[in-house]
Amino acid sequence: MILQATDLKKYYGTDENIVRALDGVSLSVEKGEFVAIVGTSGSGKSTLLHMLGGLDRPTSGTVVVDDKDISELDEDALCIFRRRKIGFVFQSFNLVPVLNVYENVVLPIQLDGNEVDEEYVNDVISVLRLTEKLNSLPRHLSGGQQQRVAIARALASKPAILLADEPTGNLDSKTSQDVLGLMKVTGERFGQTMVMITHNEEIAQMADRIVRIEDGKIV
Amino acid sequence: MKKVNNRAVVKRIADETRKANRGKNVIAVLAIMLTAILFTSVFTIGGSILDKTQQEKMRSVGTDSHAGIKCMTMDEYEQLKTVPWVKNTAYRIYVGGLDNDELRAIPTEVYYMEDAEAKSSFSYPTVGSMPEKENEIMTSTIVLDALNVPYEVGATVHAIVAIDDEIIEQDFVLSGYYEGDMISPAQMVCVSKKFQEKYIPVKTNSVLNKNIEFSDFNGRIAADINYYVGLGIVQQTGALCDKLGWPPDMWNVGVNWAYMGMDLDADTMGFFVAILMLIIISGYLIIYNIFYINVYRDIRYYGLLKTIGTTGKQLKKIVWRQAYMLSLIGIPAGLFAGAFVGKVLLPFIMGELNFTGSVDYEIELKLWIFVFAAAFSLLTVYISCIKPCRIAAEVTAVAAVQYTEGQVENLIEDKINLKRNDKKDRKKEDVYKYDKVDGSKKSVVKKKGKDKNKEIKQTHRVTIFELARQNTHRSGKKLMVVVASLSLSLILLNGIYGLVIGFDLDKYVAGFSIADFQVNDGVLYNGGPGNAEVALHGVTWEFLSEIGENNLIKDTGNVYATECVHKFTDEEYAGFEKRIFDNPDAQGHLMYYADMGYSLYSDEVTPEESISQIREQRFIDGTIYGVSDTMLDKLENVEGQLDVSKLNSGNYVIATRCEAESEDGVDVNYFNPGDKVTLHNENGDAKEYEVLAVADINGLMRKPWSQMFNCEFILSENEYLTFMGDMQPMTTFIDVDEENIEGMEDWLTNYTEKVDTNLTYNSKKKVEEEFYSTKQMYRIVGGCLVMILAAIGILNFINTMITSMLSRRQEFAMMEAVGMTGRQLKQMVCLEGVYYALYTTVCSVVLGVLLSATAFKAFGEMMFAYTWRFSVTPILICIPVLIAIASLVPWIGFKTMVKDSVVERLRVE
Repeated sequence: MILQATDLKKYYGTDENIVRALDGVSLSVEKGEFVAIVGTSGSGKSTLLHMLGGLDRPTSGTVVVDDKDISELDEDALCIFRRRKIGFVFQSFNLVPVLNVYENVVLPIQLDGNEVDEEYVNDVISVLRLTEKLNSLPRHLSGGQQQRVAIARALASKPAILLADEPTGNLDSKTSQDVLGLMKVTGERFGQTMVMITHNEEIAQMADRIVRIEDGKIV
Repeated sequence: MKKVNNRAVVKRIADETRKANRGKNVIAVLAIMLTAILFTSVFTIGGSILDKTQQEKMRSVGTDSHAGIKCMTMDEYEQLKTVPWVKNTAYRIYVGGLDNDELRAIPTEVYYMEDAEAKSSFSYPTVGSMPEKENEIMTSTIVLDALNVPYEVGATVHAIVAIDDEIIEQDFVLSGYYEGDMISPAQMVCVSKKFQEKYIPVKTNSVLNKNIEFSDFNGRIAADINYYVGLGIVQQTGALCDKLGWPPDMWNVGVNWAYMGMDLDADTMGFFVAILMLIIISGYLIIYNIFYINVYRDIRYYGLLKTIGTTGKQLKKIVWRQAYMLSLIGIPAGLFAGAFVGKVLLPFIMGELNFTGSVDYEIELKLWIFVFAAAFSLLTVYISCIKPCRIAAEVTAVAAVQYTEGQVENLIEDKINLKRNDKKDRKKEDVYKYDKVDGSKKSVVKKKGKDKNKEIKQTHRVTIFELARQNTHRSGKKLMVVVASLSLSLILLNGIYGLVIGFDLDKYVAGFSIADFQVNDGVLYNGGPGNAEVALHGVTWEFLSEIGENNLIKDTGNVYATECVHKFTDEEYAGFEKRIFDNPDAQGHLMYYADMGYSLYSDEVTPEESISQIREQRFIDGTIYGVSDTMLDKLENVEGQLDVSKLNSGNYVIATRCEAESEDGVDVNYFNPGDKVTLHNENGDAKEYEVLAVADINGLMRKPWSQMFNCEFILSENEYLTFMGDMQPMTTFIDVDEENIEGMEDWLTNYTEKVDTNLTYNSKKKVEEEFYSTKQMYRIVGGCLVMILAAIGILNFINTMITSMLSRRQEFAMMEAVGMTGRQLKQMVCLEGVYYALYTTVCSVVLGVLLSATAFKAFGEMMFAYTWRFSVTPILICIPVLIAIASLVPWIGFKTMVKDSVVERLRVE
């Protein structure tokens, strides 16, 4: 068990105006599993992902990643935990505009002060078909290419889990298929646990398991 | 074409856009305000100086009216009023002069004056009224002091009035008095109309008949004239004479030269222009940067507006309107604050400029000061907005959508390149047509495709330092502007510091004092040539006998002076012509002086004519000095043997040099040692002397005004008094032993304040005090300038840093998401600030050193008593402060930014 979320609750507001973004969600993910979380907009799926990745803290409940209860960590420790254990892929690609592709990919590793595992990173880069673009700046890449760089970045630090938030939300359907296909291939190749949220059923079909969420509860 | 009225909507969009950015507006308004403050204070100070200079000139002319005509008959005076461009006139009637013994040194003129005339000639009673009864009199406090009359209306004034050949001695009743002013040409004494009519009725024969004497003033009308327009006074006066049927160039017609253009020299003008440029540049750097950043930050918005059909021209208007709406707040605020700053600084500057008599440091807040300051501020805003307006106007929807910081420049530049291609290659016109929304997309994509391979970035190890460095480089232009803005104040600080430390006490004291004390009449340095009689013989015998008995004194020395016209003998003239007129090197000087109005004759004569007249008549103006033996060693650049006993024999004279510098920088001798010269005294007696030596007279031993030729001769004191006649010295120099300096200072203060108020003294101590106050002025004025410029620089930095951080909010959140700790982020933004500080340091050290050794050095050398010294210390001292500010600002900015959680910041807007 690489990820274990237990009875996660996230409430906003007080008393009458209370919004239950998550209302007692429990979820566990096995190592190497590719899970898709599907739900309509406002169903709480993004909130769940943020909880799992330690970007946000639950009102109650626990998240254990790689046998570590992250709700016990303070801000900086959480941040360090994130760069070691979690890889994020966002809808908006969120690359650092002043860094080239390679620098973007190795950013989390170097922020951690670690040496880059060149062989592994090159492997990831070549699987994601970015070898040609290593020295390009993000603004000269297409959307699909930028998202592939984001995926490479998420994988570079060999995280315990890769969390992807609508990774294809900004891409056209052809490119989406492309990127997702590569993501799946990469995940299988490196035995990577992946949790992806999407509202697109078709995309969700590519996952090993689909979890549906509605009004803050898993259905 | 159909006219569409869309002004209102453009206005509304501009106003709404402006209102949406309140926080940013504060910075923009502050920037505009600071610029306006600088302009207003510079104009206030400059304007006040001009104003005071003009007032002082008017006081020395004796009137504030535009023109004056002397010696008129009543009929002629009445005719003046018929001239349509004459606004008003007022007159006075010459009665005579006061002949009291006590007034020997004070020129007085007795008049009947109209009230308006008294006002315009600065002699309207401040206490009491103008005389009405026959035995009433009104005069200045200076005359009252001399006559020992108390300042009381109703006091008895015993006066001896000389009217032509008649002397009327009687007791008058003081009807009022005005504050006397030493620099006015004469003290006014007003009598009543009755008195004037009784003793000297207005004469009726006109000067036009040419049968009256020059000196026949009494009983004639002098009119002061004001025109509706204060410009072209000479022309208006010429036309006036024309209309009245008077011949041109009547000797009795004069214009007030205080109105004749400000005689600002090129250096002062240059300095003023330099200051204005400096303000425009510093204002430009910040206002430009603010609007530049604002436009880029709102680039998507402008792109959107363009997509939905707003034209480039309208977008330009939208940006410009925001700028001037902000100016509407910033400029007035700056005007008031600037007037205040100017008011505070003015006393320091005015104190330095040494105005005579009662100069008040009150600022006259003239409308034009505000108009000019506002105009210059607006001009700065306008210049600053040109580029930002253009960017907004040329933005395309596609370019805007792809915006990330530092990137749009590229897109705009792409566009400019495209335009160039467009010109080169007409065939591709359709593809590159940019203003069409659909066309633009293609071309951008195409261009970007080309760029892909071009713009690659070498891979570096990603460290906080590297990231920070890269971030500061995102927009090279912004970096440059901020660095320039910050450097400006540092460079100026360095320069001003260099000026202040270079200001040399020893040089200054040596230049302004050649003895421990120097005593002369107050008008010597204030009165000008008009008061020569008093000024050149001002040290009284009473004073000389007092100091003769004073045992504090070690040494004294006198300098006597009399102005003369030197008539050449044939032999003298031959040598003079060869050395001066036929000397090609001296021509420039001669023409300059002849042209400056130093001509012996009238203004109508051209310089060439003036010179040829001198050549015909063979006389030039000069001065004969008598100098005590003790002062002879103060003569400079002596050529020949200065044998004191020979000089005292009475057959020798020391000659001087013409200021006409020859090419090798050496002044030309009037006469050479061994030449014979014949001098004339005021009685017309002549005596031949042999030139013993040639020397330059120290400025402090000379009369302080000059003529076209200062042909000076120096005799020994005894010979001077024998030949020129017994007279009072112009200046007396006193040396005392070190321990008696203070005692002497007290004694002189007492003497000049209590015993003889006409005398003034200067001392080394006073000169030293003057030195420190001058230095202080540079410090304070320079300090204020530096402080405001520094404020502008720092404001610019804050604005740049904070906006840059705000626009990277999401990026920062993402970096946190991928594992950059808050500490690391904070370090990164602080380092970005430090990079700005480092670039500023490099820029200001390099330029500061360079300018200190060139521009500031040149400026310093224009000043008296300046020794250039290398300086870079102020910059070095400021560096830690700069680094502290530069790292603190982002740190604080970051603190406020991270209040929101990562998730909130990550959200796409």
